[in-house]
Amino acid sequence: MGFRKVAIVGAGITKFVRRAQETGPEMSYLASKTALDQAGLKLKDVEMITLGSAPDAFDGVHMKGEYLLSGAGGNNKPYIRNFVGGGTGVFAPIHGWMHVASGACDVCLVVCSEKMSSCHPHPQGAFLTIFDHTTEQPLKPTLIWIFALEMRRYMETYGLSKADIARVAVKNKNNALDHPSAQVAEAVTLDDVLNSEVLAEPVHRLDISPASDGAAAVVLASEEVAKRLTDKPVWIDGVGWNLDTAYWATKDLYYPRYVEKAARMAYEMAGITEPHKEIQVAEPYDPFDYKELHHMEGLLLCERGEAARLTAEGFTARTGNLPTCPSGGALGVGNPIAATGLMKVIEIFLQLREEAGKRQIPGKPRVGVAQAWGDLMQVGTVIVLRR
Amino acid sequence: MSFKESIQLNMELSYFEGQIPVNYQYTLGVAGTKFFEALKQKGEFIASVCSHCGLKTIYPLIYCEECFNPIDTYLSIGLEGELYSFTTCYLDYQGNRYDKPHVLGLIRFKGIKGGIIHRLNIDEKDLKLGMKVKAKLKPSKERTGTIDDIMYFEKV
Repeated sequence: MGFRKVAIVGAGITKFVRRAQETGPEMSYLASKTALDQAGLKLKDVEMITLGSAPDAFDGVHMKGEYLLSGAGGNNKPYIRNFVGGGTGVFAPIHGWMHVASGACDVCLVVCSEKMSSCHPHPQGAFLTIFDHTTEQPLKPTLIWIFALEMRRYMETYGLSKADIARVAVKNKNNALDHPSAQVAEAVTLDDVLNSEVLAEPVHRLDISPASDGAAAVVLASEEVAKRLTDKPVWIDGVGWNLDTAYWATKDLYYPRYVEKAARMAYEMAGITEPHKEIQVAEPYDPFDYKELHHMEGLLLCERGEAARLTAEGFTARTGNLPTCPSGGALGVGNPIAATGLMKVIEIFLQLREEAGKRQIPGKPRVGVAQAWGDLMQVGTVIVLRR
Repeated sequence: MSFKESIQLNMELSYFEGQIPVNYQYTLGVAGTKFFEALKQKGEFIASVCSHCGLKTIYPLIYCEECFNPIDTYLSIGLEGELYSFTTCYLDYQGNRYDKPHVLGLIRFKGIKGGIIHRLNIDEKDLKLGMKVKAKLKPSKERTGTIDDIMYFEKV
């Protein structure tokens, strides 16, 4: 389609923590500097910058993109913020890809940052106003209500038990024990998850990722520059994004069609016709355990309703046929919204370069997919990477 | 189309009241903590100094905005600066008239990027760009490590 080839040539992540002393710009700097150092570049080599961050109400700073600009190296550069809520972390590198694939620049820095600990007593208060002010806000909903409705519908549609869902939390929290950025890595068992505090049936405490502070960054480069910088470029082979209606009550709660549409867009660009066979490692977005299953199906990595069985059979473990969330995911590493999505992209980048350390999956993977989701529970963002 | 331009108050239409029920606790950050600790404990301003390119910045940063190298050097610069600009304000942020106008200034420090915006306790007729000004701090026992530890800037 006339796009230039674009590679990821460097990546950086801060620790994900409950409350960071660092400000948003300071966290953005730490991730950006690490990514530039890994790429062997200086800020002066960066031509354009794109910054991803979720709602301003989390940090309590309006114009958050501008607030984070200096730490993301954006002073006196073509810099812009991109935003699709929870889908932002995978959309940010897609946005950076646009800059390089179009020929607008050869080197683009992509930065994602979130500081949710500023928001008191809890970020749920900020989430309240994503609901319709006339029909829903008077009921004082929380996000967990929505997810409980979605999880129940998904379970009922495919005859799944809570244990079928909880195995994802067990896998991811244990995987995160090997991630240096992890906030809530834990050697939990199935019983731990099932017996944890009930928040809104069927959702329990350990079914959910935490609120976090953290930042992540990647450096994107055109083919010519990438080949000069590294002998291990990881190519962005396909990108896709799709948004359904913002009124969540109209959607099929058991299946994310918008994720499928985003995935099909990315796969077509990447020349992938049989994703369940061609993709060797995946980072589906997992803010809740059932969402990983939901998203595996939306990403066409398995048949609808099959994801839980594959998880139970070990298919998605690091040693399985299709490892999912080898990083530990949002459930284990933590969930500083935009930074989480980019952390997932970075995990695929590291896996394909065989630089994931203890988290490295066997078999020299060559193709992987990362996906994020969110906004008003109706956006899918998908990126396919290839060695 | 039915834009009801003649309606002056939302309450004349059907409406729901709402709010975003959160408040914020902003951390000072790594460099911010150093600045406000110095202000509270030592009664002085500090700037960050880039050991790679020499850029000095106030408020201090943990990174150099020019060369993007990490910063771990901080320099005391006292309390005295130069008035870069000023304004006299008559309305607060909700549009209410102040009993007494607020005079605000942007103070810069020689050889340092950035500056401090704060109240001026200087007679309006004496205000002049480039004049030397100095921060008047609260007594040390009353300082809490916030920007209000500076009472105002005054003439040197």
